[in-house]
Amino acid sequence: MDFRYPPEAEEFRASVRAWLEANLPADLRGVTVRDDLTPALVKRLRAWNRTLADAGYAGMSWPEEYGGRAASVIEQVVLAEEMSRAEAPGPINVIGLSNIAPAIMTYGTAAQKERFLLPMLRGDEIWCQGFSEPNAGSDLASITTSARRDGDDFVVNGQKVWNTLGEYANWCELLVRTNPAAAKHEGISCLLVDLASPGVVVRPIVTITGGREFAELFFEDVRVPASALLGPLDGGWKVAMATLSHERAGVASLHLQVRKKVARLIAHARTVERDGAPLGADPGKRRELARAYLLAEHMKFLADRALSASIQKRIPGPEGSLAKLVWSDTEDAIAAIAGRVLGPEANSGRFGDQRVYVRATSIAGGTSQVNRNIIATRVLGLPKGS
Amino acid sequence: MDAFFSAEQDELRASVRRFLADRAPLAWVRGRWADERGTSDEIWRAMTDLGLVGLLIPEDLGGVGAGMQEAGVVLEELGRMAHPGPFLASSVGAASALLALDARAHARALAAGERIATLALVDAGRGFARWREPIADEAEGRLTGRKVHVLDGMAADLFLVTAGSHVWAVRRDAPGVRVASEPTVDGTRRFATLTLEDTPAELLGPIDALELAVDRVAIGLAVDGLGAAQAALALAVDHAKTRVQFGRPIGAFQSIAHLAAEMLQTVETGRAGAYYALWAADQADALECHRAAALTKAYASANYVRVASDAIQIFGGSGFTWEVDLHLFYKRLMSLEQDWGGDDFWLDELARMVVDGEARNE
Repeated sequence: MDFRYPPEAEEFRASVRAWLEANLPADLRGVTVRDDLTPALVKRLRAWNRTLADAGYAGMSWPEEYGGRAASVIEQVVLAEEMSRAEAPGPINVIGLSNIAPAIMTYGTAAQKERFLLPMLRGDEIWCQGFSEPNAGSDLASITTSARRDGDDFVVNGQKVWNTLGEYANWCELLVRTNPAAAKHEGISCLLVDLASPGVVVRPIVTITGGREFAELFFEDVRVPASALLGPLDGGWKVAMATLSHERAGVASLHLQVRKKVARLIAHARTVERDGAPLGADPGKRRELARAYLLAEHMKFLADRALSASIQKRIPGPEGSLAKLVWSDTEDAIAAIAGRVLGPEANSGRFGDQRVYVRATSIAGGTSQVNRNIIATRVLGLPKGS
Repeated sequence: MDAFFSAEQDELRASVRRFLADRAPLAWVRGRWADERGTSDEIWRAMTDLGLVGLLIPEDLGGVGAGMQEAGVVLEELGRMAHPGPFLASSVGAASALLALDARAHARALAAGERIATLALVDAGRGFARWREPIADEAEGRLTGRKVHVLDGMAADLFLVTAGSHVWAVRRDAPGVRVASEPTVDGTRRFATLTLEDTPAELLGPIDALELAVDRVAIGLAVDGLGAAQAALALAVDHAKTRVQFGRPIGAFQSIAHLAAEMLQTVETGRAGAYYALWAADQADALECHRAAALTKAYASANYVRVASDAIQIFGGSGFTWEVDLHLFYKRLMSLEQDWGGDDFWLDELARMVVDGEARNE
């Protein structure tokens, strides 16, 4: 075992750190893509996405032929660590870069790769995923949004929900039913849809935080050229799974934001006084802080095992499937701890917002219950339920 | 970045697993339930011959010169087999202390299997939290006091006792020594009370020298607990696949499947922290080793017993019988909750480092 990073990774760290110091605009420090987005902020974040891309720090893992630098896993981890350390927002086009691009690289035609990847990389065109529907959440394969072939076009009708950045997106990776007669998983296709097309209506969803990071999309007789088909006709399920597998890979660096949150909580408890002493001097609160720290550090330990498995090219262990669950449990625990440590103050400002936002963590990207089903059957080998 | 054991370490694991399966399977463990020593001359001799007993002791003192990663491999396997006996107390705790104190002759005797030693830190009437401030009394090289929860005290013939601001070596056959077993519900781990009355002792060095040994025992217990929790999980998963109720294996019910998934989550999270701690104990500085020990021991104490209790729940009534092996792991993990400082103690240690101090809090 050796938990140190190799010297090349530390050299890369130094260069990223220097670049961020020189290039991160002061007004973007501390902003996250999740914050209340305004058109003005979106514009700033798109410019930042472009700056990152032009320096080779967006889509870093992409092959060089598509504008990436085929970076190693450890370089990607170092970049994420340094971005977190500098409180730099990630690329606003994260859904496109992390989830949709790999699906296009795997299943796209030469023309699709040529047309979409570079503008995606630079954030010139923002992408969203059109997967979930009002009646297809955890049971994604029961989608009903339809695409009927008509001449050289598909004609799309239906509704999508929970489209991250939908309000600002230009393009959508849309999952549609192309063959209603086929079995559930076998009549689905994937289309790359221009959201400026006539018949598309985008409506923001106001979440329980009051934020508008998600939207719902309505399609009424939207004509999409047949050339927009990604992957085989009626073979969209595997394209969707490829997209989601990258979403799950993204959880590997979630410990960074969680550890940052805990560090902020601890720093706050050190400085804020109650009854003439810092909160962090109270024996009960100290234990709570240590517990939050312990949970967050264990996320890092799990991530290190997954990272190591990837570097050593071992068969991935259960860490990857567990990371999402551990993350949502940890976020939940830390939100509760923040309440016990801060008292009423935990219900306002940044901490208050976080304690509300945390409800998303066990739902978005696969509910904890679905995750446990997957772990029980695929990792533990328990029989499938009815 | 490599979070995995080496091929040699994997071989060591295989050989320990084979040894325990052949010589000390669960039936053997059950046979020792009421045995105050928790081992037999035969098994301890065999473990000495395998190089396990002197694993941490350098080669020039007759040991193997391995590190905590190797000791961790052994401990995880011992935990999986709910193994009693003084490996952790003597080969990890006492050996680490003797090496830190440069007590070479004692270390040599340990490696040779001629002597079994253990740390006696906790004074009667006090908790583990104050191990650094012993109340046992010392006057002119003679000790008087009572130490409780002495790990494998009944198997030991040498006690490393804290008194004043020092560590002392006390032989079991010295005048004024009394050792009494502290029976608990857990027949897979042993504790004893050590009473000293004007007992002659050999000065070994300052208490500070024990920090590393204390951390190593904490890490060792966490890794042992990882092994025990894994064993409980494996039994529960097998049972859930084969036990049929309402016409289907009970593992097909989500209430059971989700419980099992949560147990796996606990085990794998604990594993990641425990293996990191093994590495830190070998390679990192004292502060980082202490941080890792506190993290993994607090996690183990707070979480592993839940895996065993959920396993019993999955077994239903049969899990409550003496015949089914689950109670061995449940009791071992129940004991782990409080042994060598519960999660409260280790969380307080963590708070000292990360709330007051500056340990890796980025």
